[in-house]
Amino acid sequence: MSRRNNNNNVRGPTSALTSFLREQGITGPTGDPYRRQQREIQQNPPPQPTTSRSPIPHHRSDSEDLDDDPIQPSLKRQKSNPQIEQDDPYTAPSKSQSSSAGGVGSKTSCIECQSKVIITKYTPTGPDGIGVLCPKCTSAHGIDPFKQAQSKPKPKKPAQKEKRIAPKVESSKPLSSLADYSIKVIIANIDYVENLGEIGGDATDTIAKVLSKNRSLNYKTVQLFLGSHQDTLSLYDAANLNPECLKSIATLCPSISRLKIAFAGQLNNDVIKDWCLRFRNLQHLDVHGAYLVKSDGWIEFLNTIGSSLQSLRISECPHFDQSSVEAVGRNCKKLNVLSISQIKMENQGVDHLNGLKNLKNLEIVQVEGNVTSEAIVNLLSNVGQCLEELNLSKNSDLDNGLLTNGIRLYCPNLRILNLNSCDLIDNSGFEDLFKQWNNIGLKQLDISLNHVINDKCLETILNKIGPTIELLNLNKLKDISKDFLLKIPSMIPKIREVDISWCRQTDDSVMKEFVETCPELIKITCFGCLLVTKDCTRKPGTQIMGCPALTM
Amino acid sequence: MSEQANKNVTLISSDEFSFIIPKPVALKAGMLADMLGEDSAFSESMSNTCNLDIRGVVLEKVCEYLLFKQRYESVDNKETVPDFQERIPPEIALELLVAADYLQSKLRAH
Repeated sequence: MSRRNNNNNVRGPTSALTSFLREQGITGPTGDPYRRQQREIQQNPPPQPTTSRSPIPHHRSDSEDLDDDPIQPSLKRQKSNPQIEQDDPYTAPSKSQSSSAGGVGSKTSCIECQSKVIITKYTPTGPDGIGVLCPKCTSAHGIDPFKQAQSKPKPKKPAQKEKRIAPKVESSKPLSSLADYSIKVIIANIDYVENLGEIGGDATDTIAKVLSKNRSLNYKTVQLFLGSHQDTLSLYDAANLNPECLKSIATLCPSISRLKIAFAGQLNNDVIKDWCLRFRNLQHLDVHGAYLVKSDGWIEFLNTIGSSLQSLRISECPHFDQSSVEAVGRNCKKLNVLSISQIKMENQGVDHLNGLKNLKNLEIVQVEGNVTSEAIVNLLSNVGQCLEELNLSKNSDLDNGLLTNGIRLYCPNLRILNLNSCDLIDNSGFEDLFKQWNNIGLKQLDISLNHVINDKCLETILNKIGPTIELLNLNKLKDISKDFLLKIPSMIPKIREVDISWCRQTDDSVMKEFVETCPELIKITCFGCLLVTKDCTRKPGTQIMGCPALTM
Repeated sequence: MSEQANKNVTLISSDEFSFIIPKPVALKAGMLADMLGEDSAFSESMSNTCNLDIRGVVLEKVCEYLLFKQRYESVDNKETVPDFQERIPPEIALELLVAADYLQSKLRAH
């Protein structure tokens, strides 16, 4: 046994765990004096040399043990019994030591004054690390025995750790904003707040927006907006509302007529089927990002509620597919507004919409799948007569045929047209449309990101729509020349907002022309127009946005 | 420069209460910084006076927060930061939220 311990004693300190444990100050109960000595001599002596070092070895007496030792024997037994323990090197020397001499509880004499000393945990070693000191000599040397006993392994490490942690804590805890504090107060008092119905629509909507912006719309704060008399509910960030909470919306506000719910990541089939049963008066629905609602959920919802819907806006709902669109066509005959974007659909899906004769606003944006001009032309031939707004942007399969055979023939009442990023439409298509279009006059036109448009084409367009246009987006029509840019303002007298970002030739003289010629202009956007300088003409009431020179 | 920084600014509430606070404190709020900052050429920055569409009782709390922020923004960990939440009366919490959002104090949280 003792031999094994000796061996271990030699091997122990070389292992990583052992040295780690020693660094951490983990030791057997009697370890302190021994370990101090051991560290000082920087080697791993078996108990023998240690014993020889203490001046006068004494046998332990039972009565002296009582202070420190009562737990020791059992501990030692526990630890030595398994015999495989890594702690062996520690328990072993302490055992041999305390039993022979120099350990805690043993008697020895002071190295200085030779008076008798009972070694305790706090007994300091002599000045050269040899022997021990009696309490008198300890105080004579100015040593604080208690401090020393604990000091060596412990205080260093924790102090370092604290220092390391401190900056982290500081940086991770900036002062909360006033909005955060207000939200906390609102949440804390949510049970005492009547819902905001009486405050008025605008304020309610503002608060809904602010809460969503701070990502604080949750099952508590949403209560502000719920109530049986509510007519409108807008949840701009419903990501934190779980299905139960979403269900409760229908329970608490059954007579709601306008519902807008964005980032509805937790809206699922279950909830939407529940909604079918409870909403009695839903007329306007705007859903964004309902990833979990499956096709059958949408179909059931539209079959139940669809007939009363007047406007339907669906975006980023991947399971709103062709069969759901078919359900729209079948059920929602009253629809005035239909907006579907970022969904999957083919030409056949578009055909299902032919029966929606009341449509005034149609948006089919960024459809995944091949929706071609033929299908849209067919749709417009059916529903185009009443259309006032048409948005077919970001559909890369639409070509000139849409303009020549569709919009030109079937959409005389269009006021707003958005065809941005339709890559296949080119100059000849636009020229065809705007030369012979029997339109009452567009108010808004967005042909941004159609890179190919040139001066001649744009002139044709503006000749047709110039007198009535109020909002014009020419973003990224990079080939327009400076001469023509200078002519534009005089062609569009009623313009209120214009975007000429990335029209490369825009410079101060062009800006001056716009600002001075267009009396009603309130906003001109010119991102990426590097020729515009700080000194460009400005006037009160006209906002210049995005000018690189002004923002730098 | 330092003289300018030491100036006070006046914030006037919709019900005509005036709050005079040190300019550096006012600049803690993003919106006020844009209005009053040295770079901006608005009449507000010339006269160091802002008319805000915020009720006096709410604006008072806003000013209190700005001073609180000035005081405790750069304290080290040892000092305990009192909880501003306790100072907000629940009855103005909603208005304060809207005002705080308008003044964008979040943008300049650091």
